[in-house]
Amino acid sequence: MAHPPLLTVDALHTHFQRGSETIYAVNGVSFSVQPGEAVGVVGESGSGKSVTMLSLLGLVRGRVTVRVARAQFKTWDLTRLSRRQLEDVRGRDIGVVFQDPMTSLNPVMRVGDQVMEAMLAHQYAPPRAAFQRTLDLFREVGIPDGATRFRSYPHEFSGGMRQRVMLAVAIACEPELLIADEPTTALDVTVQMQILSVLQALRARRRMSVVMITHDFGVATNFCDRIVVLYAGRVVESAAVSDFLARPAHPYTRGLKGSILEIGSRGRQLNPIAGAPPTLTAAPSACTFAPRCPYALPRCDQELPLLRPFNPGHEVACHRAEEVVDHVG
Amino acid sequence: MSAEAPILSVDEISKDFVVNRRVLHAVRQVSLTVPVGRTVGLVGESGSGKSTVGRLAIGLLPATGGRVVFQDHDLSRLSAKAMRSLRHAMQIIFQDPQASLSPRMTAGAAVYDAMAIHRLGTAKERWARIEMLWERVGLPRSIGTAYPFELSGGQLQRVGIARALALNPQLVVCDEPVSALDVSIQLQIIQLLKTLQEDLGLSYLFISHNLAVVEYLSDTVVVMYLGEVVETAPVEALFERPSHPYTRLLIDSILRVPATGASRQPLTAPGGEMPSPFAPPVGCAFHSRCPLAVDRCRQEVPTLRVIDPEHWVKCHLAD
Amino acid sequence: MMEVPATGAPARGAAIATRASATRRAWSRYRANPLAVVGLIWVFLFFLLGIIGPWVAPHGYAQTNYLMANHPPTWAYPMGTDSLGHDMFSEILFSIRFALEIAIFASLAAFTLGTVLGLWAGLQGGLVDTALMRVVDFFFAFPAYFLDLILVTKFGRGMGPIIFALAITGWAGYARLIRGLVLGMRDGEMVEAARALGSSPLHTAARYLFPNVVSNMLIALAFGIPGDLTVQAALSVVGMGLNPPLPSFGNMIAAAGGNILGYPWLLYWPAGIFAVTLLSFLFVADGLQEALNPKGGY
Repeated sequence: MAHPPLLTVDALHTHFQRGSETIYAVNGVSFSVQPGEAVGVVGESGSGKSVTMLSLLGLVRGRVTVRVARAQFKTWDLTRLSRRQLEDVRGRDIGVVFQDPMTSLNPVMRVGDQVMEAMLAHQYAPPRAAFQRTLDLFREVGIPDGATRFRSYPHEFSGGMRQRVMLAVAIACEPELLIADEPTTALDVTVQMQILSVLQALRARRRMSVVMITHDFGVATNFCDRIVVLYAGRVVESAAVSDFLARPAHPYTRGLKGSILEIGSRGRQLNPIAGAPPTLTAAPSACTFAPRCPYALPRCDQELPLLRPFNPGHEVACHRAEEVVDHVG
Repeated sequence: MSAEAPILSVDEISKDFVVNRRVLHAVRQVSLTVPVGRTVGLVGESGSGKSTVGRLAIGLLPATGGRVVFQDHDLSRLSAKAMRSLRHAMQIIFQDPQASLSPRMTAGAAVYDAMAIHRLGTAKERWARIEMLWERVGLPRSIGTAYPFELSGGQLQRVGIARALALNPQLVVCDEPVSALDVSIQLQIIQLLKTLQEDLGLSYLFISHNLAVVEYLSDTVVVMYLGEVVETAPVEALFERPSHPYTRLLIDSILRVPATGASRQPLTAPGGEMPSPFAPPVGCAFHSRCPLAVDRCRQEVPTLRVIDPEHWVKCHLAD
Repeated sequence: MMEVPATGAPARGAAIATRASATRRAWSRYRANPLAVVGLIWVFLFFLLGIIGPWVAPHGYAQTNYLMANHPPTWAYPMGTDSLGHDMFSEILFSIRFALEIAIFASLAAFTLGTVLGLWAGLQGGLVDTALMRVVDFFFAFPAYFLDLILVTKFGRGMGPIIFALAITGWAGYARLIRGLVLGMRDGEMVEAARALGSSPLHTAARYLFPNVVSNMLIALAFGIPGDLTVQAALSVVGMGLNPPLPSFGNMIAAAGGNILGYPWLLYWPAGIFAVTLLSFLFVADGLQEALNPKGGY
C-alpha cells in the first residue's frame, strides 16, 4: 500500500500480576491499521482483545507489565510519550468508545457539556464554536432535538442514546482513529443496527480508521475491511474479510465460524469447539489451541507457531494452515 | 396440537410494578401454553417483559391479573407452603449462573441443598445422584468441591443446570441461559439443553433475545413488545412468514456472517427506540417505530388475530 | 473506573487443580500482613494472661501494703506499687481478665442481638424494618458514651451493669450492618434462585444469606471488641467504671494521672500495655478484613 500505516503495533505483551500468579493476557500481538481502514479485532473473552487496546492507550490498571517492540501511531512512538502526552493523543487523535457508556460518561454532568469538554480539554475549539459543534455532532450521531438534549443527563437517556453520546465525545476532535470496544454488545439488535449505521456513515464521511473490538463475527464481517482473530493473547489469523470468508486458514477461526448459530440452523448438527480456552497462567511455548484442535500434531504441542504470510494480505499462525485449507477446501 | 393437556398455560396474565410511585405495566395480558415435552421460545428486546413472564410462569412473582395453571394447579390459589413443595416440578436456569449460586457453597453443596430442601433421599443417595448429575451435564466429578469463583462461565451454567435437574423437574424456564457466554460455549450449552430435553422429556419456556438460538431450540415462538405479545407462531411459520412488522424488524436486524461471495448486509436501520413502558403509545404499541403505520394504528389498539390456526398476530395490517 | 474485562475469565477456570480451601487461602492472606500477625500474637498473649492471670498473680488485686506504697519496680513488685501499695503487676493481670470478660461478653451480646434484629429487619422489610431502623437511628444519634454513663449510674458499677450498658449501646451498629448486607442480597438472583428451589424463608436466611454476611460480621466484631475496651476504660477515667477495688486499666490510668512526675511507672505500665493491646486488636481486625474480604468493602 502506498500510505504508511496509521497505527503499527509490534510484539505487544501485557502481563498481570495476581497474587503469586502471573496472568499472560497478551503475548506478542502485532497488527497494523491503514488510514481509513476498519479492522475487526475478534476473539472470545480472555483472548486479550480488549487488553491489547487498553495497553496501547495506557489504560490498564493494577499490577501490570506492558512490553512492546514498537507502537507507532502516525509519527508518534506511543511507548515514548509521557502520561500527559498520551492522554492528549487519546481523545484528540484517537477516539475511544466502550461497551458500557455509563462507566465513561459522568453521571452528574449534562451530556452536551461532556461533548464540549472533550473539545475544550484538547484546545480543539473555543467555547462558542464548541457549543455549535456539539449540536452538529448530535445531529451527526443521530440524537434528535440536540438543543434540548444538550441539557439532559446520561441517566435520562436509553442505552442506545448514551452510546451515541459516547460516540459524539469520541469523534469531537475529529480523530483519525476510533477504537470501539464492544460498542454494541450491550444493546438490542435493532439498536445495534442503528449504532453501526451511524458508525459507518461517520467512517465514510471522515475517512476515519476504526478498530472494532468484538466477539461477534456478524458485526465484524459486515462492518470491517479486515479481521484479526485473537486467541489466548495471540493473533492467530489476520485477513481481509473476503479472504476470511472464503478461506479461513486457522483451525480456531474455522471452528469459531462453524459455531456461529444463525437463523436457519434449525435441525442442523451443532459443532461446538470442544474444551475451553487455556488459563493463561504460563507464557505460551507451544500452540495454545492445540489441545482443542482436530488437526494437532505432536509438533503443535512443542513449537509455538508464529504469525506468517499465508497469502498476500493474509497471515496465519498455524503450522498446518496449508494442509488445513487443502483438506477442507 | 397434541390432545394431551399442556404442562403450563398462562392465561391473560398481567404484572404491574410500582416504581417511584408510578405504575409500570410490565406485562399486559400475555397468554401462552407450553405443551408437554416441547419448547416455547419467548423473544423480545430488553424491556419487553419477557423475563417477568418467565417468573410469573413459575410463580416466582405474583401476577397482578390473569392466571397460571401448571399441570392441574392454579398457582395463584396455592398456599406458600404448597407452592414451595411444587417447585421441584418447575425449575429455572438463570442468565448469570454466578449470581444465582451462593459464593460460599461449593458446586456439590449447591446441588445437594436443592435435594435437601425437598427431602429427597438420604445423604448418601443425594451424593450419588450428584455424581450422576455431573456426568449428565458434562462436568468432571472434581467440580463438586469447587467454589463458584473458581469456575468458568460455561462450567457455572452447567452447575446451574445440574441443580435444576436434581429435583426432576418437568418444566424448566431458561432465562437467557447462554447470553453471557462465549459463542463456542453457547453452542455446548444449547446442545446440552437439547439432549436433556430429548432424554428426560423436559418442557422448556426458553427466554432469549437471540432469535437464532430460539429458532434452533423452540417449537413455538412468542414475540413480545412492550409487555404484550405481538406474534405467536410455530417456529417454521414465524421465520418463513413473519407477519408482525416488529418480528420482521427483529429478524432483519440480525447481522449474519455473509456466505462466501455473497455481499454484505446493508447497515441501515429505521430509527426509533422502544418507548418508555411508563407511557406506552396510544393505539398499537409499535406504531411509533413501524414503517407501515397508518392512522388507524395510532388510534386503535389491535387485537390478536388468527392468520393460521396456530399463527396469531397483533397488527391491523396483517393478513 | 476503567475495567480490564478480558482478564477476569482466564484465571477462573484455572483454579480447580490448585485449589486450596477458602479458609486456608484467607489464612495465607492474613499471614502476608506483618502487623496483623504481630497483633495476633499480642492478642493471643493478652488472652492467655487473662485466663491464667488470676492464678499466676503474685498478689491479690485488693491486697495492700502501705509500707511499700508508691514504690518503684523491684523484684517483689516488678511493676512497682501504687499509692495504696497494690502490686501493679497483679493489678494489671487482674485488669486484663476483667477487661476481657467485659469486652467479650458485651460484644457478643451486642453482636447476637444486632444480628438477629438486623436479619429480621432486612428479611421482613416493611413496618418491622422501618420501626427497627428508627430505633437504630436513635442509638446512632444519641451519644453512646453518654447513654453508657446514664445506664451505669442507674444500675451500678459492677461487671453485669457495664456489660449490659455496652451491649445496649453496641447492638445498633451490628443490626444496621447486617440489615444493609441482607437488603443488598434479598432481591438478588441468589435469593431468587433459592426461592425457585423451594427454599423456605428460614432456610434461605440460614443457608444462603447468613454464610454470605458472616465474614463481614466477624470483621465488625473484631473491631467491636477494642471499641468496648476503650469505652470501658473511658468510663473508669471519669470514675464510672468498675467499682474499686476491682482493678481496671481506666482506673489505674486515671489514678496515675496526678502523679506522673513522681511515680511514672504508675502510668507507663497500664497505659502502655493498654495502648499496645488496643492497637493489636485493631491490627487483627484490619488483617481479618483484608483476609476475609480481599476485594474490599465492608
